[in-house]
Amino acid sequence: MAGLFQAGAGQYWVIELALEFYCRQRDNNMAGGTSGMKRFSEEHEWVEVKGGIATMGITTYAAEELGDITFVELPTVGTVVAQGESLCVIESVKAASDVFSPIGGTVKEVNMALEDDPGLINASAEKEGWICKLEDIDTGELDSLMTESEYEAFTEGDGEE
Amino acid sequence: MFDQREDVLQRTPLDALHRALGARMGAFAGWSMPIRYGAGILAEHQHTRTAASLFDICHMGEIRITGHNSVPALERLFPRRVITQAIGTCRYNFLLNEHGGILDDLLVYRLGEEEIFLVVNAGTAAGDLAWLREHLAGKASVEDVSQATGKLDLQGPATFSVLADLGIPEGKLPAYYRFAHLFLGGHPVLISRTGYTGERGVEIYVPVGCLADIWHLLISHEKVAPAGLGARDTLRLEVGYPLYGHELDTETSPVEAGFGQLLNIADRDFIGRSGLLAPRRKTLFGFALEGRRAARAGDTIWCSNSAEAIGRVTSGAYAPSLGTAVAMGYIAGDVDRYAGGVRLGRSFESALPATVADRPFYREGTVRN
Repeated sequence: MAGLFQAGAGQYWVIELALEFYCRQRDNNMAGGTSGMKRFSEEHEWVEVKGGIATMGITTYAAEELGDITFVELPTVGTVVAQGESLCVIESVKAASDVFSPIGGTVKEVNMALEDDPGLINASAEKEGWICKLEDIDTGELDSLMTESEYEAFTEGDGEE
Repeated sequence: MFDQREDVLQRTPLDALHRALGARMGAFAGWSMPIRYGAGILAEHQHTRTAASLFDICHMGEIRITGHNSVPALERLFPRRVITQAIGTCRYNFLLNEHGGILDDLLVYRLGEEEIFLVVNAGTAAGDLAWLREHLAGKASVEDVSQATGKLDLQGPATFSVLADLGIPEGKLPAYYRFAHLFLGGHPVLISRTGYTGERGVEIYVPVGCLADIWHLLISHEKVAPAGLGARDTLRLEVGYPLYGHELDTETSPVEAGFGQLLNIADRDFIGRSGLLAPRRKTLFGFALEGRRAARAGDTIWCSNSAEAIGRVTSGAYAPSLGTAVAMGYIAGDVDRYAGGVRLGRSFESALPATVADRPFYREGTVRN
């Protein structure tokens, strides 16, 4: 990169901008990054943060374990939850299960599609089957959650039955 | 009650086949059984109501009773007559304890003048055998044939056409609640027009050595798909059939469970008779809930108006063929009818509103057709 600094004075700002951008990206990747990356909880919830808003749901693994989901008790908009606190209840044919919030915050939006089609979670747990979005979050709480590869290792450890 | 650890659970002869099909196994009454396959409970349930599902029911017990005068002796253990049960027919019956409490519900097959075949629940089979041996000692031969007998249930509106394609034309099949000795895939089987789903179907009893052959024969038919115990439960619940351990147990009489009309109590004696004549302690009701959200076994039944606890839910789930949840449970006291609103749940505040509903909840079943 040394040769680039021998350009004329007026061109330095472009290079500095590029360098700064490069360094920020490198720092992001080394820290794991918070922009657009999924994190996973031991209770099998996922969370993805974009622009200060956290979208969450249950993992594909959890949906598989539960089997056909028959009812989702969506949280109420405006509810304030702490990380790890019970957020809502999901019912499958065999049982009802608590869903815990992977991150603290205030419920901003809920996925109304799940009211008529709870099976959406089985079809697409980590995309179309998102449960709610939270605002007023603390991205620092993401540090206590697992990355995708850590979660894969975590679930591989579980028995087949 | 049961040791549910994986390593001590019993396995049916088809265990490896289920796992190869991707079945999710679970513990039931001391057995490792397929709860669902890849399709899932809802799909397996729907398939049973629209085509034909094949269930591995080898965990149930089979007992053969024979001997001169064995039938009159056996009849003293049942609240429904056996002597008058025609050869070739099946009869739903109960084994009762001295208080009229239910030890098991079962099917009695009259194989011959002095030959009876009982099909009993997996969880109660050992107790049933001990009870029968105790009370029939010196009067009849009691043989546990469970190990040698496999059981497969084929249930669904397509049952007759599937069997016809496999060599048993509809005309050869027995009528409802009758059985016949037939050949399937070259193997001798006992087939009865009975089942636990509310759909047209058969229960097939197979010598254990032929079981895998017959499973493969049936499962390869394009209309047949495997179904597990999860779907078996939602299917029976939708048509209001009781399940031992839920609606039926030793603290419950068949009268309280709603089967008073079936019993032959007058002019005969049998173990538990006095208990059946005692005042009713409770009555079994069916309940329809408003939405998809289910009440579950163990939930309390609350009177909506008074917030008083009046009973207990014995079974409850989302009913796939109805789109809403249903439940069954006992309301305490000598209550014949219940017209008031109820709520079902752990606490009155969280309980779900429900109304008493006649069974079967699902009425389009093809079982008698």
